[in-house]
Amino acid sequence: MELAKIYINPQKYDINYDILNGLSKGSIWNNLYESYKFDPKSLSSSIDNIIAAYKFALLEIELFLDTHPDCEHALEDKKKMKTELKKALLYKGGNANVDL
Amino acid sequence: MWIYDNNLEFPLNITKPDPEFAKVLITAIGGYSGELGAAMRYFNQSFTMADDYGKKLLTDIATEELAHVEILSNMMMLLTKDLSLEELKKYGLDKNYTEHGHNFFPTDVNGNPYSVTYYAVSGDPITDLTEDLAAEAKAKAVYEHLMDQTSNPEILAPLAFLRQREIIHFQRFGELLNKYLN
Repeated sequence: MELAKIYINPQKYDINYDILNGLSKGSIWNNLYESYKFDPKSLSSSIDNIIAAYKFALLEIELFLDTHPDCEHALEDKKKMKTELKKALLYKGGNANVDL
Repeated sequence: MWIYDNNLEFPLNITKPDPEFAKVLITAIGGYSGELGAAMRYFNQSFTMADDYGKKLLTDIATEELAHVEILSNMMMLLTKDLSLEELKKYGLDKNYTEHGHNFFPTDVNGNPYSVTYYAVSGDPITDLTEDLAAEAKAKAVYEHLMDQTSNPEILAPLAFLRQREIIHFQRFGELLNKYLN
């Protein structure tokens, strides 16, 4: 049986740009993913799933920035993901506010 | 303040009811390692974090935990969808029906109601963050114990997602704790 860890390793910036895969797995960070008994299948690329995946990627980056506020990679990816989310929301039609 | 997004954080695709599983799943909402307790604990603790980054991290994670309450509540409804009173009785959900109809009251797996004692707030950031690491580890264990009890991929997918979120939150709390200790 694997025991709980108490030492927290510093996280290297290792993002999974396959955002649908990130949402299905529950993290966009390759090096923090740890499976248990079940291998999640990637979600289908419907517009709703793509929107959910970009929102999730932004949430993940936001949490990362809370403890790494000066990380330039994260700030750059946040900007890129917001642009992509906006595109997806406009494609679907409706509210394209990405500053949630 | 909060802005609500009328979409689930993780899309659900549960196509058939499983009242037996709903009976144990409720603890992930209202149990002592449940998401409702986590959301309220981190929100409450945020006010005594040592800096604005800490306050923001705790509020951000508290907010996400509420989104998890939303996912689990939707799962509860899908797992008990369209059940007759006879079926509810058969699965021991008639007691819940008596008080709450087709809704659910946040309880642990034994029916003990959600308690404000789950907040576990000390006013000291180091103590609270250490508590939070344990809370995330316990919630992860609960998801694993839930995953042990089903082979249905429609239920396993959101549980695996929620379990992985505990790992990420554990990491972030640990990073904040390291920052405050150094």
